[in-house]
Amino acid sequence: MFAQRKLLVPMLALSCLVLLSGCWSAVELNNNAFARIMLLDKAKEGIELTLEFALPNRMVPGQAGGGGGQSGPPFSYVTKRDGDVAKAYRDIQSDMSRTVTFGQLRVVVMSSKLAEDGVEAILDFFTRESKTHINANIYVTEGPTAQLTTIPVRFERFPTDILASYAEEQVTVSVTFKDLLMSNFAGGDLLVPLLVFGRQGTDKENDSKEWMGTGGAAIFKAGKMVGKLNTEETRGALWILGQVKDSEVNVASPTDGRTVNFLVTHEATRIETEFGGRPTFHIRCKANAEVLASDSDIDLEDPEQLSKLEKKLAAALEERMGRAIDKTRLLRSDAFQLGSYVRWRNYREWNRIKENWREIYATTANITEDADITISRLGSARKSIVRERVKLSGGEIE
Amino acid sequence: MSVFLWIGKWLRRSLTRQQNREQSALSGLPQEQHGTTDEDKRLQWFKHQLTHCSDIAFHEFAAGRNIPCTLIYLKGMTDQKMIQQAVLAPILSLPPTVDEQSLAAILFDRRHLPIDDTMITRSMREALDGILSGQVLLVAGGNERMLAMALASFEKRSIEEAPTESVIRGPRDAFIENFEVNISLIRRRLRTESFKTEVVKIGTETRTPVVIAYLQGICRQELVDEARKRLLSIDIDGVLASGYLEEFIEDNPYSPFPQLQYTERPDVVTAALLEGRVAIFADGSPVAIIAPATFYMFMQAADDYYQRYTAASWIRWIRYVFLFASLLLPSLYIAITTLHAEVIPEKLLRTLAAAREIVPFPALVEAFVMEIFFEALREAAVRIPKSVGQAVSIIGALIIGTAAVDAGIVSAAMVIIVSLTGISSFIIPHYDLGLAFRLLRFPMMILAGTFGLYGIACGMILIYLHLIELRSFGVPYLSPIVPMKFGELKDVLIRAPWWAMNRRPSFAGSNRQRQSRVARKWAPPPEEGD
Repeated sequence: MFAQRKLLVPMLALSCLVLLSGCWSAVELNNNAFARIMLLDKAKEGIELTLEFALPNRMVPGQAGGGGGQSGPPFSYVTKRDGDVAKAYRDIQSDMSRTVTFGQLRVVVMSSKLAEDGVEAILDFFTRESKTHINANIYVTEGPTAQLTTIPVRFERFPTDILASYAEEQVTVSVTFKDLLMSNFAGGDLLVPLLVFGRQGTDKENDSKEWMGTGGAAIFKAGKMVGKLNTEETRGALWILGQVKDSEVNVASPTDGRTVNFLVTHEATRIETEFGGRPTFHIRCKANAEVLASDSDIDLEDPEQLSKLEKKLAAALEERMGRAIDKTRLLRSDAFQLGSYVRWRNYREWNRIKENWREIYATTANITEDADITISRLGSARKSIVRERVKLSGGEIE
Repeated sequence: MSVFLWIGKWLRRSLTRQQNREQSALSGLPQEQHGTTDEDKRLQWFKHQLTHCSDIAFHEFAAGRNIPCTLIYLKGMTDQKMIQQAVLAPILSLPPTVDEQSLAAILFDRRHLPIDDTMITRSMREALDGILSGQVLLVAGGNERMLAMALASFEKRSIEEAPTESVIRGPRDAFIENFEVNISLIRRRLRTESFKTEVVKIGTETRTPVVIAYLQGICRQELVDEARKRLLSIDIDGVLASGYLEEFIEDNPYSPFPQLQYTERPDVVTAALLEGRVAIFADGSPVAIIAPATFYMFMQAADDYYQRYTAASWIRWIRYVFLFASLLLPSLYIAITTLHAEVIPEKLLRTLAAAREIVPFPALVEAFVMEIFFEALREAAVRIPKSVGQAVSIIGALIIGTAAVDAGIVSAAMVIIVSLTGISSFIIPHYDLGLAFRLLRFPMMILAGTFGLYGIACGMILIYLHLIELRSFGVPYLSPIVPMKFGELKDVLIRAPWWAMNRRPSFAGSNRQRQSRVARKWAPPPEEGD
């Protein structure tokens, strides 16, 4: 009899659970509105929040049983203005037939105006919303974020995919929400990729909307945007951060000064530190290069010439990195978070200098860049094809 | 609570009723009436006991000097030709000078009848049981001894290929309903005197012979005693299949998990005996029970041991993967889509959301409906006559298929989940274990729909606790992993090559060496540091 009750009680309890189902946080997939892009801009009063939602009812495969004949893009934007992020979000939710979920938020875009005012308010909202992914990418736009809602989406189905692939393909600095949180802890100095909108690159379809692209990076200091790196400097920054896959570098040939074109593939970036006296940082990059094109007479099979070329390549890269570093030093922002290296490797030293670390970084710190490049692939053309052709025809180039 | 009280009372009532039930329909009549010299009285008793038994034959004749003799047998169960040739012919050809004394000497002392298996009995009860199990009983004159002759012969199925446990490289024969044939199938494989078979009769009405088979010296004696003790304590009117016995002798009668292995393959039984386990056969059932059984034994198929060990190990991993799939796939789907949508990669979520867009039910209801449809289909497929089986598969494909998706009743993802779950439950080699997981899937789905992944974790912990506590004839159900015995892991997650499996499992007792440590003696010993 006891055994029977032992069986019955759990069974009855379990059947009660069926009635409970859906009472708590359970939300059916088709009652969710998944916000995937969050656009934040400064409004006259407070903040302007725009959320991008996927519209699954426009994606029903085969359209069977769905409201056939629906057209238009399978995503939509909703905008509200209110005092802060949380309020604006509640405003959006109150008008929605579905539950807004931040569980799939992949991209947060801030306008530079808002970024200049500081990111603390946004950080506060996200640290409390536990469902957001900490690997959501963060971008800053020049000008209002609303521009993003009008960009043409040609190659992908959703604007999310474009922004996510910027990070995946490493075309620009990739900063996630986690980086933002970590940097906030370390002082709030950070590089955030910039998005620019312009006519260049607009495709040839009739509704020539503004094309979106990456353009440099915003420099944050203590959670506020204070300046930006241009595209060239951002390339240098990518090498320092080790976030680059490959980049194209042109150098003048040591023999005749004509251009040799290289594709430099990043292998590793290491930052070495030395303490004692003023803090010293060596940024060491290792990379492989392959010849893309050569305009020069140089004999690439000659090891001597090759090593000269390698040195020139290294110098070019070092120069790039140096420019990025110089810019941040100028703005007194430790955007590459070299301070963390001090903290990790010599905590006592860090405790001593952390008070005026930005000052030290900007003035006294000794930062050297050191690129180590090996030219490993020359391609099958031994000599410049252009030059040979010119020689054969007996003419002069240029 | 009043519901429980009522159920409790009802159970108690039904239990006491059972105890009051008579031990046997035959009780009340003389249980142990010894043979009397009065032949008529004995015949009268037999006739009284066997009234309204149309298949009984009382063949009365006179032999020698007019001595009245009677043959009693069941017509359908005896070899009548043998009765004529081996019993009637020699007795009737005795010269008429033979008196009662010398007839008794011929029959009961010298047993001058050309029959290989005869037995003398004085007990009426024993004689009657013999008749009912196919013996021919000879009552001669007034002699108190009676001759029981084993001339049973009845129709039996021929040995066929095992229908539910098919193999690719292994032997094909399977057990049949006759236990003597079944034992002979084992004996053919175990030509040793240590292969022992003990018969006990179970069932007050059916008096079914049940055989405990084991290998003496390899099987622990306590195990045999325990099996015998449990079998002898069974008090039931009839045993029609070994499944009856299983429920009486398993350790935890409330567990959904099978605690005894069953098989219809003599090679599987032989392998089990060699491991030191006990096999139980019931007459009338082509399925033998093997005890003890652990969880991992249910994941071993007969073919594992006939195929190359690399392939067998790989297939075993596949089985383990799909074991979890068959239990958890629908619950994981429910939990993740309704409570944890943020863990789905964004691009996958898009597809799932689009597929679910037009579905009118919550995911839990959708999954439940589909799973129950599938269970019904499976049951129908087993029960349906073969001639109309085609129809079921066609209609089934419509219910669990594109038609349901096109109608907008269920989502395509759910169809995939349900069919994958269905397939995975068929991958488990032992049907019983598959059934257990099929059953547990439903509470898991409720837990998942209510508490999400947390509920699944709780459910898994509960199942795990139950499995840890479960025992089969004293052997922990999850051994050799819980408790961990490294030496016995050779046949759990992998199937070690035969030359490496040189020891028996530890429940086998002290005689554990299966083969010498160096099994491949012809091969040169491996070099140092090899």
